[in-house]
Amino acid sequence: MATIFGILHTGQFARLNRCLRVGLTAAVLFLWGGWVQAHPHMWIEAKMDLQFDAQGQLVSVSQVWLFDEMFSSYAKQGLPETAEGVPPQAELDKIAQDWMSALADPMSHYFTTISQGGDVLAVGEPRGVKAIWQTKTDQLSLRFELPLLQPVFVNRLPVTVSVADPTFFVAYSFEEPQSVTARTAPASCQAIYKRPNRLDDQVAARLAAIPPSGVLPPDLQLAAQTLQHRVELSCP
Amino acid sequence: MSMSQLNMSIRQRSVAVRWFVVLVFLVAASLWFNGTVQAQSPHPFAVPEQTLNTPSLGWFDQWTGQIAIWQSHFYRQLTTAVRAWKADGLQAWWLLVLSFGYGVFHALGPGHGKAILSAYVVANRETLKNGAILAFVSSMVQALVAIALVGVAAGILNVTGSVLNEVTAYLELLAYAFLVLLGAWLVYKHVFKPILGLVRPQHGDHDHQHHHNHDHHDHANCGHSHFPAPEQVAGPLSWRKAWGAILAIGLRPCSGAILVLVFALSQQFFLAGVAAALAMGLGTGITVATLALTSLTISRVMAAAGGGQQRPWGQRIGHTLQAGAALLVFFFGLLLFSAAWQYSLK
Repeated sequence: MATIFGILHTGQFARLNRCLRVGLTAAVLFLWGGWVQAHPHMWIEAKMDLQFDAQGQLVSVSQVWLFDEMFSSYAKQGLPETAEGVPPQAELDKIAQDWMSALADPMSHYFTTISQGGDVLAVGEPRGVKAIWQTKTDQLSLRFELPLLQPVFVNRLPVTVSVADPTFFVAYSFEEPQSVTARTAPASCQAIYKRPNRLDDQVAARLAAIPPSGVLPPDLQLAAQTLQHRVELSCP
Repeated sequence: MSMSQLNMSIRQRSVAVRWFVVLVFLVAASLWFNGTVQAQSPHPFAVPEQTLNTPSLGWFDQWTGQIAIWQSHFYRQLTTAVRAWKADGLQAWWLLVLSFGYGVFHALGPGHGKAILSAYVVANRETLKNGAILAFVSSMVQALVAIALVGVAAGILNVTGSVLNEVTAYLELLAYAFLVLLGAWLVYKHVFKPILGLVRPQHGDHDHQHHHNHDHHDHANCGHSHFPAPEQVAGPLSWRKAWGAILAIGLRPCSGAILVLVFALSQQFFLAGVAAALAMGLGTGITVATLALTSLTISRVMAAAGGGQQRPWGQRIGHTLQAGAALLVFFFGLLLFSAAWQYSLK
């Protein structure tokens, strides 16, 4: 009896115990080492206007992005300033151009997707690019217009404009009144803003873990679509 | 040639072979990591924050997601708090509390400091007190590096944000290089030495003076047992050993601290930024210390479960933990360095 107990205690049992515990500690250490960049690092208050031509076709989508104060002051750092603390417009234009060329990257694609009936509509070079320093709030805003290569009629099929940063580095908000407008649209048109679904932490972290060149699994593709800010434009 | 001389030359040759094995291992591991690690391309709106792709870990994602929400909650109020302090000196406490909270949650979420330090103290079998001191010192060094960087580069030289990004990226690369070296040293000491028996019996290469009892029975295949009991390692912190870990953690300033410092500078109120960065460092230090002490306690409990340091199983568990922690520091360093290296090439 004593022998059996002895074997159990010093032999397999102790070994099993050791393996379990070593594994457990390794897991704990690994988890503490894990780091996921799911959370936003900057906030943008966005506004959007859908622009139409005289024939009633959608021609472009113009946006104004107002950056949070922390990011604004970081962007302004090192620039020359006037006595009022405003950077010269030429400097701001340079920054705006840098941002637009970085945003032209296929992965970012201005963080904006325009689609009709499931097909993504191609856009040309952004127009009217301008960075503006808001002296009252010490915030920087970026204005730009994405022209559709092929203007489209909206009466047959509705158009969806979605805005999101797939890396969740930027958190967008369209919460200000009059954030989504279609000033030049035919009277029958209606632009409805749809807030993204509440960001599910688990989904967000899984998305953040996928490399830019990676392919989203089907369930994440569905989830990602509901995480975008969407503007549904219809002209019945 | 006498018998002992012959033995000596054979042993020297086998030592050379072992060193070769170590070297091949290190190079192979580096190459493999460089191939697998993929750093994200810089974000269009770059701030000093590196994003690294990590595998998904299920429930852990939910935890980090929640931490990220708390962290954002503190972060978003920092600008208002800086302004409030500027308007009314009595409002300083608000910025300090927010920054402290941001530091606590920042260290719980992303960041490498806690993992490195936890693994380092386990690998080196530091005392609880030394573990806590290391955590606070490295976190405060991190805050001071951010203050010095923004104070000199932005405050005096008035460089732009993109230059600050670059300088931060170089500091990061340097920090991770230290980390790889630290990891390689720990792996050599706690993995290769015990396994390959690279230790000469004279103990000539020991970097500590304390006397310890060796348990030579039952260790024929382990080379040499080198595992002082906790009360033997207890003592003042060896700064000579610790500076590597402190630099590996502290050289890379935290992005939150840089951003609040630049913002305070833009408000002509740098002092608020300095205070906020120090409070963040304190918060980070508390979290890192807690995690490091928990790791130490777990590893001690495990060694105790094996019968303690005087028993073979206790020693084996202790050895395995030390070796595992050393490998963790090394691979973590390689992972971070490869990502930072690829990022800096873009």
